[in-house]
Amino acid sequence: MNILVCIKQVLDPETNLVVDPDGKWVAPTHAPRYQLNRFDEYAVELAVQVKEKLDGTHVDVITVGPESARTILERALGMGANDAVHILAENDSPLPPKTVAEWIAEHARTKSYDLILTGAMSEDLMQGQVGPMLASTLDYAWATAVMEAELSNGEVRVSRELEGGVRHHLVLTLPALLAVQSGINQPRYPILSNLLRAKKQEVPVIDSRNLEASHPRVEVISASLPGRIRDGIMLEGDPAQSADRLVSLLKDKALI
Amino acid sequence: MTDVVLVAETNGLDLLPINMEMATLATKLGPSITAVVLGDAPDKAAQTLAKQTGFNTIAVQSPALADYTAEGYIKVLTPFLDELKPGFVLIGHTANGSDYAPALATGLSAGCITAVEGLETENGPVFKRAVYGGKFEILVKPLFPTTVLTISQGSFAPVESPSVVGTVERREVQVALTATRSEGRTLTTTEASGLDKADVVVAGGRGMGKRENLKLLDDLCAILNRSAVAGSRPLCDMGWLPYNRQVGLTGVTVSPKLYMAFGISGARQHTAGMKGSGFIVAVSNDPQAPIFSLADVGVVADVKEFIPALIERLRNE
Repeated sequence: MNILVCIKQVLDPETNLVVDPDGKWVAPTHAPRYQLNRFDEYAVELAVQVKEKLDGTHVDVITVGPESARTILERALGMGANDAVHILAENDSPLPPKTVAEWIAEHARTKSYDLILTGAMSEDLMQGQVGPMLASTLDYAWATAVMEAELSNGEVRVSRELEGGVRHHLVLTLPALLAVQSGINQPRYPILSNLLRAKKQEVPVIDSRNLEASHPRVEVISASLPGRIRDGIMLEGDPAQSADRLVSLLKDKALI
Repeated sequence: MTDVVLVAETNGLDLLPINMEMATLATKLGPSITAVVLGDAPDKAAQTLAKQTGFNTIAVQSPALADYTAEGYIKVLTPFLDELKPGFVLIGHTANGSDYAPALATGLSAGCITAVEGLETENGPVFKRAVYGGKFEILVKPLFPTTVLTISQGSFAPVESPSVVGTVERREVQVALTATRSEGRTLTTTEASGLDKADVVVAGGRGMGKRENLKLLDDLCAILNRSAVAGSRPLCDMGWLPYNRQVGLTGVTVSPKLYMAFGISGARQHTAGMKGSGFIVAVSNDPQAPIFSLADVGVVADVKEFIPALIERLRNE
């Protein structure tokens, strides 16, 4: 079985960000730290678990991102993926999901993948578009918000998470794409020896400037800080002082 | 030709409240609106929709549409929308809506904007949505003739009762599902957590740091009457709390008198489940955490220092 896992590098959630001078996007105020998109960790783990259960399974990971994204490819290799592919693209402004899907599709067509896995969404753009778009582009069956996946005989049985604790059970014919929900498994920590080996592993790099991209269909025209939803106050001082003030406030309002 | 097509969100038979909110957005996007309900028995829902929105509604019927499947919806909606060529297709930002909307856009050569929270119309319609967990909002402008939008719940007020009832047209379609088989739904049986009955909800997020630190939440609850411990999704994903204690879009919605969020950033997926709370207190060591714009009282602090100080202070009462 051939599996492709699509992963993305995202900023450490506690990175300090500001709207850039153009007012069109956001930028970190200090040297950024990146990590593997949380949802994609679950996708890599799922692929590696399938590989461990099914002999002859090969797992490729792919990312569209800047040079620094090599690190997350190494992490995925360290978790047990076999090979990685890096589509090099700058990340100073958000790439249209359609473009990302097209670039990944171009690679995917060079190999016959039975299963393509992605995370449900990225933590930065929070759009959840690349998965279904990629499936549609490749004419694969797909399911998103997947909380369970079981492969057998050219099919995959999945449970999708709906609202209110409801699960929808479906069977898809392979080849299929699954966008997995967080909590589907417990992603492993990469073994150090695997990570060290991954650092030396050759990863083909495809310069996205040599790839075609269809015309963007939407444009981000501005970014801003959201307005306050409630007119709240911020307490100052050390924890003991703030705690003191908070208790007084809550007592005044008869909330405690 | 129609300006807007609203694809109704149903749970199989009944219309969901989000449709009334999408209807409001539809009225701001164009005078000519068509609603569509898909299903095996869509007539009743279509009639209700036509009555409550005033939109002309098409009930598209097929046994293959009894359960939602991406394949079924795409196969039915694509030729239908190719025919109508609307400027906008409105879909609910729900688990199902999000499942097919981007693929529908691809097949229609349309743009796609998901999790829309607002509309601005100064220079043509542009759509507001959140990024970076809600720390920032962006405005997205459509560049193509048709744009598929998924609309987040709670973003628009429900549409007002119209003066005229819309027409209902029934269409029976043939759909062959070749790659998908629906095997129905189940409810994940989790014992009730009693979260919805608590007067005070004490919730922890990733800022709690380590699993052992959740004891601080238990200790706090022990002092507060009618309180319960809850958590954000990531804590439940890690197995620190059972999923029946998850507050958020895919978990429980609560509106207690007092909601205390410790180490929770306040991403949309979480705030969707608690933004109706009476009084919100948020403690986080990230001054940019979006939870602070929703809090009545905010404290920038390390929860591991703040909670013990709070417990100490409460014990002295």
